[in-house]
Amino acid sequence: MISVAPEVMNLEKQLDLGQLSEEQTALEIQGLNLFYGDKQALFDINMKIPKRQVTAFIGPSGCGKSTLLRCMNRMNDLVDTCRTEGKINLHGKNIYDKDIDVAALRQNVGMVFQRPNPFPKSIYENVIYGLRLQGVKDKRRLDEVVEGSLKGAALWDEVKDRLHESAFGLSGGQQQRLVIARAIAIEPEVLLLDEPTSALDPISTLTIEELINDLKEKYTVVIVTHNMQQAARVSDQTAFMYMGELIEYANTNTIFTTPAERKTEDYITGRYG
Amino acid sequence: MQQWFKSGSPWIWMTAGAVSISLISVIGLLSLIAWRGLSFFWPSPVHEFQMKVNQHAITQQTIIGEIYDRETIPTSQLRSAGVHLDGYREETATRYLVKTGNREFVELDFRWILAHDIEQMQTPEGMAVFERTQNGNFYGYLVAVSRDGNLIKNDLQNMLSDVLERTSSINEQLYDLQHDEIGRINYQIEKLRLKQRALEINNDLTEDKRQKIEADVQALKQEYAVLEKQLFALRDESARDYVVVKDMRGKEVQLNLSQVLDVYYPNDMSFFGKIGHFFAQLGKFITDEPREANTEGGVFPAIFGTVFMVMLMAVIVTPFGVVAAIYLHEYAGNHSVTKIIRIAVINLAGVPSVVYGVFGLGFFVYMLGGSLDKLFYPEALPTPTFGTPGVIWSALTLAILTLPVVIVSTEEGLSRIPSSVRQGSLALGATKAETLWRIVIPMASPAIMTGLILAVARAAGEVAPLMLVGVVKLAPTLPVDGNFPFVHVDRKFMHLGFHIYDVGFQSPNIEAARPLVYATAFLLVSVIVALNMTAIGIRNHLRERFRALEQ
Repeated sequence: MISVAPEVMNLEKQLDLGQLSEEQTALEIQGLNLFYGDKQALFDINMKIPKRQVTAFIGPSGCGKSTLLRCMNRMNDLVDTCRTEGKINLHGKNIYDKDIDVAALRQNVGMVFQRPNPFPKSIYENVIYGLRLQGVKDKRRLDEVVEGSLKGAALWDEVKDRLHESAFGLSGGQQQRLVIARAIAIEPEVLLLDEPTSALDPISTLTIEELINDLKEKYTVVIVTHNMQQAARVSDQTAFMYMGELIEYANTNTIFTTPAERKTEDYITGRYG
Repeated sequence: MQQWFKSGSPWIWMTAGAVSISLISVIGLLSLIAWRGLSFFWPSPVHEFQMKVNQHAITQQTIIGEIYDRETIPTSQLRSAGVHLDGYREETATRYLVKTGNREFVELDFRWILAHDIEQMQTPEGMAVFERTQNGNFYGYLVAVSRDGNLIKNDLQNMLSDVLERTSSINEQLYDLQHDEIGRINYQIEKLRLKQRALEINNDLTEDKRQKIEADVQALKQEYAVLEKQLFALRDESARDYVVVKDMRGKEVQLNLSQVLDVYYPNDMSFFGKIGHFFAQLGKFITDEPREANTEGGVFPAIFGTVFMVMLMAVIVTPFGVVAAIYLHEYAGNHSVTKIIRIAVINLAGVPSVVYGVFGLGFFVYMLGGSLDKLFYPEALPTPTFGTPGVIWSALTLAILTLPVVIVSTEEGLSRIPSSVRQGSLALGATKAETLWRIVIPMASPAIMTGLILAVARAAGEVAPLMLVGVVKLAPTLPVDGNFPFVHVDRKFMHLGFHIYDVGFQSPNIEAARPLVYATAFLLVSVIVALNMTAIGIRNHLRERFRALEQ
């Protein structure tokens, strides 16, 4: 059994996931099926993701957790053969509706990828990329956002003297935090993290995990991880997925101490995966 | 032995041999061209040959000239050619090719002389070489200089250089007057004629408009008359001085200084003097205009034409190629039609270049240019403006020729950009177009530059298509000058590649032209290398900016 740090087992914070009210819900997934060509990758997913909490997805490789995450800001649209059924509601509106502006959706639901992917620009330009897209030109506002976002991503102290140097000069962990700063610079409601620490060393991983804890003050964080300890350390809710199905979704300490499903227990005790 | 084969050594030797052969041929080519081309500018000594008195072939006793070439040939060949070799017993004989210059006084300015017939050979001091605007070089001894009507006979070399300096500054004024001022007036008169004609065509030529144009023409003609007077005065002034020289026949002849460009004394030069002269001659070759049907003078218009045309081509081909590649790679999707298009594009690169020339002539010059003339320049017809070969059509033809190269390398560059960076941009709410514009194209710019480098390298070396769509032997004006609109893309131009062909094959004086062929070839290679180096420099700079991509 995984030992869970006592501070994340804050019982007061626990929510009843089945009974989330409209205001408490950030994203609501209803009957989601996803196909790559003829092959079905997600089977009838139903869940509510609470606001300003960290929700983790765990499961063995190929279980569909990343695919599900990518549905939440429609990054799966980039795959030609991908087709979805069902709904994902944001503010009660299905993001797969025809009249949805995908660019605007992605401004609202930001994403950080497995490997750091800074642009070949300066640190400063990386952070304000999203604002530039929105046409913000006011130099003072841009400066403020850069400082605020870099502070929010716990990177400000390390880079404040070299904002105009290339982002490629940063270490992997710093690059990943820069990418997070870039994502929060446009103030999304939801931040999707797709295995954000899998390409990083342990110390950088720790920094990012601490950062995730801070981020939930302002943002709804959804994180996919193959590292169960990480899920246990950073998340409030955990969803276990297996073969494209959502097996169990509950408060993190429940999942890790008293899982309801046999498959969940097998997975977290390391019997497969 | 078997062991040796198994070890792979023969294979390594073979591959290394292939590399060495390529290397040797490149170095050999470059050094041959460089040596033959550059040695032309080195001041070679002028020899004076005293010939044996011989009643058969030699009519002159003294020959003065530069040795251009020497060769050893069998005597039997000479005898069968009817050369008298009395008392000569050797199997072979040596003969020299001598450039004697003085074209207007002797019938041949190059001649072969047998070493056997030479009584005495020396390089006398004080031998002067005159470079002239007409009739090539003159070799002889200074006798006197006439300055403002006074015949001066002492301190001749200094006196001559003084007088020559004055004459050449007058000649410069003459040139400027003729090309800038008078050229401008002629251009404006032509413009007015066309304006009048345009009004006539549109039935819009009222009496007062006509009078106004005529008044303008009159004013210009008056201006012209003033300039003409100046021109004649300058001509008289420059023609006043002359130099008296003794040539190899022993006769004293007068050379008018207005025709003398330069004079030097190669037999008196020190080594460093020769180096200085070498660079001065090289400089003149690069900056001067050609004279005497391209066999003398420099090649500046050809250099300018080549570089201008290639740059124009680059400006045309880059946006077209990049846009086409972006569509093919980003939007067209990956199905059989795009595959066919891709194969077609690649095959386009294999079409012989002269075919593009024919296409350019038929499509650009006659159809496009002809239509432009009808639409916008009806007043000039039947004289074509754009409906005739010109630098713009050459650039367009070569742009089509090099389009595949740009498309292929741009596509390659686009496909190398990691999808994670694209997704990063999309995830921040950028549309596909914004991602392309802000991230993908800047990151692909080194690859685009690579395509451009290949395109420039190919285009700068093409001659065949240009002969159909714009290159001429001698262009009276550059495509860029001081007359509005300053850049005249409809004009014909000169090109180094064509210049080589012209000088080498169409020249009236083949011996004089031969070193120029090498020199021009060397220059063409240098121009292409310089263009490529510039492009490679830009690419490396861009690469440095997007360095992390390579990791």
